[in-house]
Amino acid sequence: MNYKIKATIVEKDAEKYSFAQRALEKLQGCCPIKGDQAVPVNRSDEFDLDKETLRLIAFPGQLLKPCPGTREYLCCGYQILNVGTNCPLDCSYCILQAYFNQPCLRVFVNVEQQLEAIGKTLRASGKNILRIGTGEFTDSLALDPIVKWTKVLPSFVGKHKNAVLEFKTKTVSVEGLLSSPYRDRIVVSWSLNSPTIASREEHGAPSIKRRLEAARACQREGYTLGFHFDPLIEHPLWKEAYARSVDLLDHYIDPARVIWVSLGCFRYMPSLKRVIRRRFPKSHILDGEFIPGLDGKMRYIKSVRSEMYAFMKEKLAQWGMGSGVYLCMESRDVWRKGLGWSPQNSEGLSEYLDRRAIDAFGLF
Amino acid sequence: MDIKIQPTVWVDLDEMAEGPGPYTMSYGFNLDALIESIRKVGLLNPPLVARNEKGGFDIVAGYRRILSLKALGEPKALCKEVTSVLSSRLERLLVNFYENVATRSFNDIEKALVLERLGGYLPKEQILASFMPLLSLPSHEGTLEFYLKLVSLKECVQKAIAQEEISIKVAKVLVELERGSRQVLFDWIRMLKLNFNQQIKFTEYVQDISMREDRTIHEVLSEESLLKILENPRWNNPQKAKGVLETLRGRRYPRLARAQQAVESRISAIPLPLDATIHYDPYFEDARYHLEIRFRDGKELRKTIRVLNSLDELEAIPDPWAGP
Repeated sequence: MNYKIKATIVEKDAEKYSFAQRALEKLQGCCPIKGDQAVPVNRSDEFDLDKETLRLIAFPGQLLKPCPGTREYLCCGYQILNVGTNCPLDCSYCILQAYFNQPCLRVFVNVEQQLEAIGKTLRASGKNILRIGTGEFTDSLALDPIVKWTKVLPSFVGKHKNAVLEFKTKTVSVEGLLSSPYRDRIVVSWSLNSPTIASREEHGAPSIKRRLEAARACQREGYTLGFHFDPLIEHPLWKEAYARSVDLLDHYIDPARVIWVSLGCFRYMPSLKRVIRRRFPKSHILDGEFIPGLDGKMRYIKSVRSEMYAFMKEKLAQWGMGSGVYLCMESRDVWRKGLGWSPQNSEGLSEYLDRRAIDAFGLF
Repeated sequence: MDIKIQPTVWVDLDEMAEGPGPYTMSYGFNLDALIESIRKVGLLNPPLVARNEKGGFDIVAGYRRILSLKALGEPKALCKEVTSVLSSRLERLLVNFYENVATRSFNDIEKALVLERLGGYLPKEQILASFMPLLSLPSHEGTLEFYLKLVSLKECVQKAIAQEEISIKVAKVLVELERGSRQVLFDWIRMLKLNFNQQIKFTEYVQDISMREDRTIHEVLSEESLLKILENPRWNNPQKAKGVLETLRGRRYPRLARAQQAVESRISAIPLPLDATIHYDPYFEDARYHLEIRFRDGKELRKTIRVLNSLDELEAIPDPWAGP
């Protein structure tokens, strides 16, 4: 699936990087504009995220950073490889709408050059496993047909035995992965939701069925899969709706080769509410009972969260995921209420997921 | 340009238009102190005026002084005529702006007027970069758009904002609403004399309920339970405001409200010593209660602890976040 790119802006010094060259070659019909010649983005509408303009940028800072997490809730110790920001999909609940103050799809074309430094970090970590993901600030695969991250990143991970790389997506853009020879320590994971939420709130994203068809293709080709039900959204008949998604999982995917499934109830920075109201006036995702969490984000009240987690845990166990289900950014008491157990702390959760990776890939 | 050396002229106040004209930016002010000052010591600084196309005078600076003189029944005012020295409209506008910005702070409607008028002459980029900081506003397009929308609000709403009866946060919500809904919300806020915090909660509850139930704001606020509160002859205004907010909150957060009520009723059933209070996180995110004991000395503390220790009812305190 190719998303519509109407304009490409090449920022200073970006053109020389192979990622930029590949993208420009792929976008031949779309005449690139040099960053200093680009007309300043019209910001008269602050809610226009300009998802049809691709900016190729040589990012000057560090691209690998730990997930910021918060002290108040258990964090899985994920490492974020920041390959770009914003995403061509337009999910109403997307936190990126309020997280970044710059529009356009931004791709950091100097990833390859930064891999050397990341390699040093990995080597210095010894046998400590680094679970790395590219899907936090953008969709890992939506722009892959243009940028071809899958040509570079899996081979890099192949060289570092303590690295596990997760491509997290809602798309069906798996051609790059399917043609890649690397499988070891690569997790391809899909963000899932109920079919109702997917069709109403995940604008531009393929249906759950199509996502799972792509996931099945990857699993058949030997990839280890992951799934993320995040955000879980309370909506009328949510139990039936999420059960339907788990039924679809059962139909398409063998749970034995699924490394993990994360669950996270919808949460948002207070400033996102206004953006959602303006950009998606018909959305009902804000209907629930939200309270300010200990990290300042708005969350469902605990009784709702634990009920949703407990329901999903049961359904996923029925499917075959008796273990490997974890919660993203939740407190220990919600873990206990929702999943029936809890890691002691964030380190405990991190160790649990590292163990899953060791078992799945036969590490060390 | 030296305005100081311009000659003064006596201007017949009847020749002045009633409104602020194209250059002045004062809005929502109180003239009492200025009238009193002019009555006591006379007009110290002459207003600036310029001839307009109709042959009369527009005020370039000193709108409030002119109004005060009129209120005092003066037939004429000694003014400086700046028609030729400030030949362009922009120059006159800027003189007014800089005279005001240096001596006082603008209210939000005045800021909106300044930005709107400057927008007629200057590019947006210049307004953002040069003028918004002078108005203590961020150089942000969204903020500019918001202020420009304030100018189109009804007079009564503008006055309430200028006089800080309406929170600027609530004004941000109001400008986004269609006219009917905006007026209904505004009328309720005024009628209940809500403070800023209450206004924010009120608008949020009503808007959320309206969105969730696909009903208009007018329909939400026409519910019998709310109208009954308004009509209750035994309640004063603050009680009505509290009642309306509680009712809306219960509608917006039914499970949370029920859980809070359940915990509160259990805690209140415990015969705690007067110097002890049990607190809980009203959102239930913190799973623990907090006990507060007030005491003058150790003896008093021990006494309270002894009483607490003997209370079997403490064991019945439920898990605070179990939900209703």
